[in-house]
Amino acid sequence: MRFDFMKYFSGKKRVLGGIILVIAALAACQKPETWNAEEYNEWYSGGKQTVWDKSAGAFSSIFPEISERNMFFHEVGDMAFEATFVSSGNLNPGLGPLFNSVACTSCHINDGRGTPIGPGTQMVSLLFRMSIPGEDPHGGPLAVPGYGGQLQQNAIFGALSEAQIDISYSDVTSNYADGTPYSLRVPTYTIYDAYQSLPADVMLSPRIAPAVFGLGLLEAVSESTILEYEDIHDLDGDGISGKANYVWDVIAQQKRIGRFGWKCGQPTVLQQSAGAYNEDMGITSFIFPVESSNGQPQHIDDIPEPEISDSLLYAVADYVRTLAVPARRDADNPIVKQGKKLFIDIGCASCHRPMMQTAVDVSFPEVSAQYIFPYTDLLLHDMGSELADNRPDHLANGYEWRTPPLWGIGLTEIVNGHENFLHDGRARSLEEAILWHGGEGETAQNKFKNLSASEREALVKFLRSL
Amino acid sequence: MGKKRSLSFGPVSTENIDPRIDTWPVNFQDLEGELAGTQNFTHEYIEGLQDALKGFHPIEYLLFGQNGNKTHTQFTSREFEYLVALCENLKELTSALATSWNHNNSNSYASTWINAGSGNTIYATRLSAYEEMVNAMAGICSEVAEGKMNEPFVLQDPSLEESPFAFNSITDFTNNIRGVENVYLASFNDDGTGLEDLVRQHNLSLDSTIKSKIQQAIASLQNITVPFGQAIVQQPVQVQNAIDAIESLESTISQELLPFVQLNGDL
Repeated sequence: MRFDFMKYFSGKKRVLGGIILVIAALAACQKPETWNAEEYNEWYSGGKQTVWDKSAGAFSSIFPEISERNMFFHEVGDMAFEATFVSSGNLNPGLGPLFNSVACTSCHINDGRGTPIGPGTQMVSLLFRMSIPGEDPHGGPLAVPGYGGQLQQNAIFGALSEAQIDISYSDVTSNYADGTPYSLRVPTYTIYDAYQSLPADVMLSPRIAPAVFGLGLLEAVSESTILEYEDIHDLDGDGISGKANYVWDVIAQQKRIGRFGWKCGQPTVLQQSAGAYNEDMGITSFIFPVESSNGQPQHIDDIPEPEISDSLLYAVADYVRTLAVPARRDADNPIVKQGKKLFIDIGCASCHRPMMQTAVDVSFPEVSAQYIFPYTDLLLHDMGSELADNRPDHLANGYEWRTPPLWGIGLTEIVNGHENFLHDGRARSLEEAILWHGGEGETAQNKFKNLSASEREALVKFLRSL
Repeated sequence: MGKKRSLSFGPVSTENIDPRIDTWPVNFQDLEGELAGTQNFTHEYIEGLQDALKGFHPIEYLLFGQNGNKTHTQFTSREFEYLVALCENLKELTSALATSWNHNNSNSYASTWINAGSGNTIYATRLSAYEEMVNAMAGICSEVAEGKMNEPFVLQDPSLEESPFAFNSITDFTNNIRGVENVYLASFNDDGTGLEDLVRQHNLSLDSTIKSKIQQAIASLQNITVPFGQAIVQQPVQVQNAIDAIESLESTISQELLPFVQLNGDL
């Protein structure tokens, strides 16, 4: 059972068992929080589940404090996460008939972030959700007839893939206030080789594979902690709203706060994993037992459902849940500290909430009552028309995206060999990612443009230290 | 496969080369479909194939056949065309990888790697480069012991063996461990300065433990005298001993060598 101390000790501070400090929740919508420096150590981004690896394996470490039992599940899930699926046979059968990719690791390379496309490689780590206007019975996106909710550009031999997508970029240039020029690349997505014509009102949403570490800690944050930052009508007038998405939880058969995915479309790590198996690889599970190709002419499926056992699906979710968070680097460096101050001063921290506390959870002590530094509020924000996918997803409208966590972002280059950021990887650096911020992020973006070169460098150096 | 595994960081991972040359299992159903089909195996067509239809393992299957006894007269022209196209694709990808590891090219990954330290955009400290090496050494040990060997062994299922067609798995596993040795000694063709030299400066006993565990792991693999698919049934003691020896090497690397470099790697 999950017990939320925030509710019960509001306004007071207590010590539990001499170990766990519980900070009371401040009144709703006070942001950012006042931090009491004696009670946390910001080097430990993932609380006690922080690791000091800064190599290419930085996102792939098991929790340093974990029970034997959970370590076993982690290891089983690790192998399943790497498994390559094939069409048939006795080793990992069930692929497709339609799919984006053949293994979890094809997109989440080194448990890290995907990139739009490389020369000679298939576009595996960027996928496209699709829908037509309207809502499904649970308020989610309405599937496209003949295509479903996601475009699969691959198929097993003998089946037709749904379509291919070409990405082209055009450059727009502008200047910082000090006159320094910069350039951003604007993506254009073109569908070709569609197996049947697409409806004229189809809406597409590009999504790059995000890093998968630290998700057990984010899942352990209570709904009330997330809602502390919600301010749908911007009652405090700071220009930042913040809205929780409520999505359908298949197992609970009710709506819950969505916290995973680029638009907070999934409520739990387990459902997120099952969704990825189903849509990305064509692997059915007890949560999503129907093939994504169901009802389409490509639907050939001789493998009985579910194609992945319940225990393996749980193990994969446990694997992801127990991936540790890399520690900060250079957190005491004076320039990094200057950058952190600027990050807060110009308003970045209004959405990229630096600190949260996870709820007390006696059934999963590994994630219980930890101060973590994910730099996200797990809420939706209007990011302006230039980043908009113009496709609603439950309560997220076409302009809204989830604030993505920033922890570990400075290790992207070493882990994944690139610095492509945002939902479709259009930003080629941290600076570009900042410069794309519109909507609620526009004020902070303008303030960033007005910083001096050395101040901008300090802010980016701070981000690299996360 | 084999020796390169202990260098499985850098472009082989970040440029997505590994899945395109070394994906297991093979998608046999689709492979037979491709052979029965009429598509030309052009450069672009091969690039567009799913990973489980290209690289080492489909090549091995085409060369040796399902039972490892294929002769050249059994090749169909279609199989031969596919094999040639796959080999060209493999050559292209491995050449790109070799180029990225050429330290004479100042833009290469190898140059970035050997110049780890202050001012380096990827490896800001020497420690991060050392960690990379040590993690890769431990990673291949656990992949061989816990994955490639243990999975077919505990399930007593030869069909789970990776690279079964050439009866070459024991050689592959041995080369994986020799890869660990090469990285540790910085020795390949000639002997360079590497981890061994750093360890010997501070801890001769750790150096000797690592070297002897590498030799024990290799020797225990050599004690398996039949192809791995048969050994999991016929020589279970030898297989278990080899798994234990490799796991013991892995624990020395991750529990002693890693903390050692974290203490001494930035000196």
